[in-house]
Amino acid sequence: MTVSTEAIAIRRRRRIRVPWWLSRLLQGVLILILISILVFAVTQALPGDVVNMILGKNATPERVALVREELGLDRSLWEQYWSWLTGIFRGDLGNSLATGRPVSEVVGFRLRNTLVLSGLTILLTLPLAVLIGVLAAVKRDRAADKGFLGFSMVVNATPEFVLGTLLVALFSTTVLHWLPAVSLFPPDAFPTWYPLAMVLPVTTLTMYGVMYLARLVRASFIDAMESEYVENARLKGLTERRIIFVHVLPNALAPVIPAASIVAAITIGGTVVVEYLFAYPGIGTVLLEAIGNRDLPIIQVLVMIIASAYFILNFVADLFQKDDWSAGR
Amino acid sequence: MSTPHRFRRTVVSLIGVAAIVGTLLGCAPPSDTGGGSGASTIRLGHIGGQGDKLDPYFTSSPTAADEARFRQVWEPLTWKQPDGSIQNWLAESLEPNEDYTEWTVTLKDVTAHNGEKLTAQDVVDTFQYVLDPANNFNTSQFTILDVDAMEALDDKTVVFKLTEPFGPFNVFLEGHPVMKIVDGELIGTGPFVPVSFTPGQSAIFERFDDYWGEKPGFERLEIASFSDQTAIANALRAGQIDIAGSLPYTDSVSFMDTPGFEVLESPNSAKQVVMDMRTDLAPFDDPRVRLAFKLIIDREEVAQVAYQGFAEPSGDFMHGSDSCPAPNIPQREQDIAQAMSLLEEAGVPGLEVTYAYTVAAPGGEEMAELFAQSAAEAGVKVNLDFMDEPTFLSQWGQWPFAINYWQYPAVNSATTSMRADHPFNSTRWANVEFNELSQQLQRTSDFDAQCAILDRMKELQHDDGGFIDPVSVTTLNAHSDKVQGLKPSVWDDAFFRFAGVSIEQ
Repeated sequence: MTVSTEAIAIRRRRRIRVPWWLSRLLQGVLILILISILVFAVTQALPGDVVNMILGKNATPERVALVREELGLDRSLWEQYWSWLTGIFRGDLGNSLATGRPVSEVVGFRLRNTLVLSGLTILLTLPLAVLIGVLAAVKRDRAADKGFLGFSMVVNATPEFVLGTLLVALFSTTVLHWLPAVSLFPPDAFPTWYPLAMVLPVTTLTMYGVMYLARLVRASFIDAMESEYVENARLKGLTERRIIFVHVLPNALAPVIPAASIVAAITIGGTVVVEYLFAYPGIGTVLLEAIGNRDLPIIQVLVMIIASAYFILNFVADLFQKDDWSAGR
Repeated sequence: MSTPHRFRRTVVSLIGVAAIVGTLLGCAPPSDTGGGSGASTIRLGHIGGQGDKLDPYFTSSPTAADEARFRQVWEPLTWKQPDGSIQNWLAESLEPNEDYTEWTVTLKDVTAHNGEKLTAQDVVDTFQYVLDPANNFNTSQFTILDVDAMEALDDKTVVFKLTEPFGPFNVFLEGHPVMKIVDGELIGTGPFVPVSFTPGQSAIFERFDDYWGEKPGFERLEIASFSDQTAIANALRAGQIDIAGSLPYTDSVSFMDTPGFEVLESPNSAKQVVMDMRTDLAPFDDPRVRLAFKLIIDREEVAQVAYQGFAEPSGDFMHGSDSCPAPNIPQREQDIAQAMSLLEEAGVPGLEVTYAYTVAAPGGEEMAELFAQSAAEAGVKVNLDFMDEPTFLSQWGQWPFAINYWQYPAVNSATTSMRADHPFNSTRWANVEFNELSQQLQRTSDFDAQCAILDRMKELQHDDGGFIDPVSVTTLNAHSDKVQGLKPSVWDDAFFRFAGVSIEQ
């Protein structure tokens, strides 16, 4: 046996629920419905509504009444919520109150753009975090490691907005003029047709995830390197390379997986700020604007999408861990 | 033993990653990805969002970006000019009957985007479309037009019939584009034809080569929507746009010293950012309190701090929005002592008021803060109540003391929203002489006579009116120095008046 018996014993002691995925799925649906009720209630509680935004300073009571009726806002709150919910189950996301256009049309290509942005970020974050974390652990307490720790603290303490602005000043507007400052591309274009325009948004998001995760990988790796099974392996005369890649790394990564899924979920939420800064045509800018306009159908759908992303990523992380246990057995 | 299992999982993961990367990077773009295939192009950046429109008519007032878009496509019979005047545009001439209740308008020879001529019947159709209640357009100014009695005499001549006399009819027509309506499609006559439009993202136009007027010196126009002004400034700096439609004053000023950029200065802007006082509510129902507040604000300080020095003190009346000679009204200065004695007289020393404001216009927030500081010197406590736009608008017209902003031709304001009986009179100011003058203004089409009446109306606003208007602003538009031919305008539209404008490629 090359895998530590102690590590397996610790894992076995944890309780495994039998149809855990089913209960998880039901929990997820329930949470989404609760969130939708919450979003609905909070939007109603905010002062001012979409009619004020549509009519602006030119509102007369007659025109307000006309618009309310057109938008169905004269119905009871319960009726409004119910028609939205049943619409969702029929696959009808409704229309934007502010513009009258179908929500699917407003959200569609922007959701794709956001998925590309966060997908690329996640794809880059995981391997980079592992690489940097392992290197830092191997070079523990040397200048490179200390430099990494300091730098990562600074990056994670800097708001995304500030970091992005610094990168823009550095690479686009003030110091160098290498990269576009904003991501302007036509609506029918796929974001990766404009790779240069993707560099700064992806870099801003990636730096956060990498700096945070790499610190976890480093700590977890150091723990593993100091464990008894590594000592054993060394005594048995295994090469350092084999110890690191075959024995330490898989064990060091196990505790990092849940954190990675959270980082992935945060990335999807974090695109809101980054999209705003880089004028990237994603769901983030639309969400901020919809809140400003009190445009409930858009807010609902986007919050549902972000909440589902959190749920799915957590679910996947759980899946990996469960998979790990059964594999270990 | 888990190695084969792990190996399989690694292989599967690698294939998955490769598939995703392949999908992301492998999609080949079409040969032309929006570069404009060598056509000379001007790219304009402006604040926008999902509410962006490319329509000639609106349920509310159009934003500056909406105006930048629709002005390229649809044109009115008369149009406000950069110097504040109103001139015939698609109209060749405007002839009134004796009592100004009937106007005969002759059209220029104008070709629309579909290749056909604009006719008098098109003008009739336009106004019928605009006044159709089902469309719910903002048509408050049309109450005097008897649309059913409108008549096309021949291809070029149309008669407007009014329910009451209206001498400054050219101002009435201003800002109301006319078009050909073919199968529900609104076909314009402007210098550009729309090619594509995605709200919140971009609008692309191509030059209309049969345009009747002075043509733009470039072939393609792209208007990009941004949700953030910083992104606009960055895009301009990085060369991704050529003209910034709206920037904070600090950003515009920073472009003045940057090589490769120029900043167009348009002084005496018709856009007024003011502090409205409800003259029918205490304490502002007392003219002494209104005057005291007008004496409290430090106009020079507002010009320097809120507008970086790009503003001149003004005097609490309509300005910039006509081409009349400047009225002979002495400049009002800050006078805390007099303000205090006026408040004392009015029986409200140590007054406490709340000021409601929102992100309305550049300088509005700084103005509020500066006013509150000056007011404290006069013993007045101003509670600043900043809120988001929907919250502000939900009580619009109800706030006793609040920010307001507008940009209408003076004649227009003087005959509508400034009048006592108008539903959009936000200060509820009901001055008898002002209302009589407003009626008189409706009964003359003579420019000098109109100016004389406006002069007296401005004087009344200065003395007794319900709004504090501290400064007359200079609008700044930063642009690349490759763009040539932009001209200053009082209407905050200098950045999209493209007649004779060109760009070095």
